[in-house]
Amino acid sequence: MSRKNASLSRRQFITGAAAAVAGVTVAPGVFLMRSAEEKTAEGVRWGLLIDSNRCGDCNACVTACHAENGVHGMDRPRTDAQWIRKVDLRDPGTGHTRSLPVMCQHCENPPCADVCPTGASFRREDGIVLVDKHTCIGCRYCMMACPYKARSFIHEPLAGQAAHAPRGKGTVESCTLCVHRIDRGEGTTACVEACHELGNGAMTFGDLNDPDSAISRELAEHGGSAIRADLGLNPGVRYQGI
Amino acid sequence: MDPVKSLGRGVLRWLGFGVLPLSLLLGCGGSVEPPDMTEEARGDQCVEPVDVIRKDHGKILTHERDHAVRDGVRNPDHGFVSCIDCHVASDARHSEPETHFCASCHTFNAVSVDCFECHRDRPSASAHLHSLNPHAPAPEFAWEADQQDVTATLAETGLLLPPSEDATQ
Amino acid sequence: MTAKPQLRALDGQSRGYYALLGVLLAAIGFGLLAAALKSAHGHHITGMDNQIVWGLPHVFAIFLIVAASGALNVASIASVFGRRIYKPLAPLSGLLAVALLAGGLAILVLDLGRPDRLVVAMTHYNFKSIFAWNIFLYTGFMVIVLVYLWFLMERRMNAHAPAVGMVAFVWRLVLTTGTGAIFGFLIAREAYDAAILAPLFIAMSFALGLAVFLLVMLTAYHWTGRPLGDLILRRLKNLLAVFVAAVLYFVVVYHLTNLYATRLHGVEAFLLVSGGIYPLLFWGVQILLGSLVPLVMLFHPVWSRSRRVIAAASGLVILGGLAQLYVIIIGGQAYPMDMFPGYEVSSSFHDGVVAPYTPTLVEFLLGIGGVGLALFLVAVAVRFLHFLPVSLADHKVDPHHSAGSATETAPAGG
Repeated sequence: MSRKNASLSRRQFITGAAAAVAGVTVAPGVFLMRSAEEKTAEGVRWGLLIDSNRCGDCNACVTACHAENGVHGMDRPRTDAQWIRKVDLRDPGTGHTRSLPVMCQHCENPPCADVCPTGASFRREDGIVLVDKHTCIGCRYCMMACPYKARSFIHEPLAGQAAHAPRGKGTVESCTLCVHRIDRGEGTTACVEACHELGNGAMTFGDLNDPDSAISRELAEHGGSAIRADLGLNPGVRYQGI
Repeated sequence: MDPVKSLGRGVLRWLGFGVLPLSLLLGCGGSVEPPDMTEEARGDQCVEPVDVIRKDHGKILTHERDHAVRDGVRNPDHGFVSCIDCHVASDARHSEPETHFCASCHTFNAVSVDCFECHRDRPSASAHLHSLNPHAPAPEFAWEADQQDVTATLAETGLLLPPSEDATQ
Repeated sequence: MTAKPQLRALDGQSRGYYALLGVLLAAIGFGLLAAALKSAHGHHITGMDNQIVWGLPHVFAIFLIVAASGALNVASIASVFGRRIYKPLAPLSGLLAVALLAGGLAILVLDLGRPDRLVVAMTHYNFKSIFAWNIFLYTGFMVIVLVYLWFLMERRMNAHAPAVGMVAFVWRLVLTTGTGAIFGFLIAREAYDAAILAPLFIAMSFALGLAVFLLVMLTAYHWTGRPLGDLILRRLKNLLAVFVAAVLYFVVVYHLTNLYATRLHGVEAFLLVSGGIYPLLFWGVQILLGSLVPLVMLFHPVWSRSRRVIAAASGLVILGGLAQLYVIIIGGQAYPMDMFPGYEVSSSFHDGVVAPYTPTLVEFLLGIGGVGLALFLVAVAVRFLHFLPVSLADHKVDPHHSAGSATETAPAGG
């Protein structure tokens, strides 16, 4: 693909020239930073599609996510972080049950980012909602605001984090849509990978803005809905069968 | 008030509040030995000249972290994880500064930074030592037309090394 | 013409005064200890968790912040509404406002996950966040009230005091609106997401601030033995009763509105009937002890003449306010979010179940520390600065007052 090549050469420009430019000391302590930008892929909106008709009594996505991102419980269920969880639904009228994973829904208009006083909660240009832990002060207002209960607060000092997923006491965190994998160009997430390898193949990752991506084609053909669509947040995670 | 007495009191006060504490401070100014670098994980070469990185690694990291986190601009040369992979021994702990490349120097210099409250403080098993990136674009890299002046500027300041020179690693 | 009110610092040599300072310092110490424990061990030593993210410290903090803006009432009535009788009390009113706000903010900051990053909160702003606005509203309030105090106490600046008093009054209305909006703007949770929370918080601030003011004033005059006439007291207690009734009104409207919407029946049933501690606090403490009983006490023709009754009623209003904030803040989080309407929901992350919450001693101590800090600031300030009028005897506050009119019911004012 021509697009991939283009981005490769741009990245090389950065790793080389950027390193050099960053070292230019104009005056003591004053840096001339690079002007070129290797950024998130343009015009992309990453998303997930989850087919709750296929998703069954399986926990592969949760296990994989937490292993990938070094999210270990302390055996304290009330304070342990959960980036993704399986939610079981039961229709009291019919007794019909189903199960589906819920994680950060990566809203287009994220309430967490709206309420965050320091702007630590933000949405990347490619649609991924993240917490910048450098500026998170741990006020937990985002947790009050999130309609999906997608966020966890870290209640104790941590050690042994995954290198690509920094997390520490006193800050809030949530699903990153495996942003480290996306930036490496892997085009999948730990949960989706596990769902296909070990689970029921109920999850699809892809670019919602690309009409030819698998996720867009599937959505165009069979449709999909959002949790709490009434809030108008336009989440990047879509579901079928709810 | 007796002028002599008050003068004497003034001198005493001056000694007590000024000279004595200052001389105590002067007494502390002996030579001190910086801590040894942790040899096994110091790396052979850094991504920047040693005097630059020694003085300004903090600035480089803080400048680029916002780009990395917010815009996905990930520069492997200046990535936090790369520093750790190269310079920190895999059994080091930042809580035991004598074992840890970063923490030993920070402790010595009384620098308190909170990187390791969130970041992993040692290399992950799979990725010990990253390959050092040469300080230049890759050999097959072609400058875009509008970047030519940037190249010229860099070459003038001697910071853009010819691609062949230290791309041996 | 009223004589210029004489303000004097307390002598503050008595053992009682130092004992008071000792108790307050101990409270601050406990608060700091709690903060240190929290920063060493993390929030898991508190009762807060991923379900109840704001707990008892926030009840204390928001109480103090709301009461702070309300404590300015007396000064506002004097400077904005031109009631001269309240003028001698304006400095104390401003002082209480600043001190209570400082106490509340101290709790909020020390409860952050990263209190060491306070400077980040001061340098990074997201202006869409009501929280970020509040940072400006709180600090601005402090500055304005401090300037107001300066103008009140500096003879040459006296002429400008009413103007600053006006700014302070408008600012405190905006501030309490902002505090209410912290909850009012939360679309996610059924118990919040209501514009009426802003005026409700304003009414609460009037009532709570005045209750705190009355208690502090009664205590100060009782302990120092300075004369305090019935005239000013009667007006203030009538005012308190009006404010309590106003809070009650907004509470009724809030719940009636929610009860009309079928989708909110669940959360209303939880808060009013089935939610265990929350209905108990609501009906028993907030409504009965914190509103109805004080209303009777304050309006009763005979009882309300007793200072003990007025003090007790103020105390009950404060208790009711704490209960009300507990129900709003913690009750609102305890009720599960309705993510999948029409389904029964369950998960390992406590979806679809009521979140239990038991505050721990650490949280309580942190809250007490904030209260201690606020009162400590007041106690020190009245000792060293001229805040308290030497006399609030009836003929001092109102020279037209004669012995004969003492038995008349004073107008409610405001």
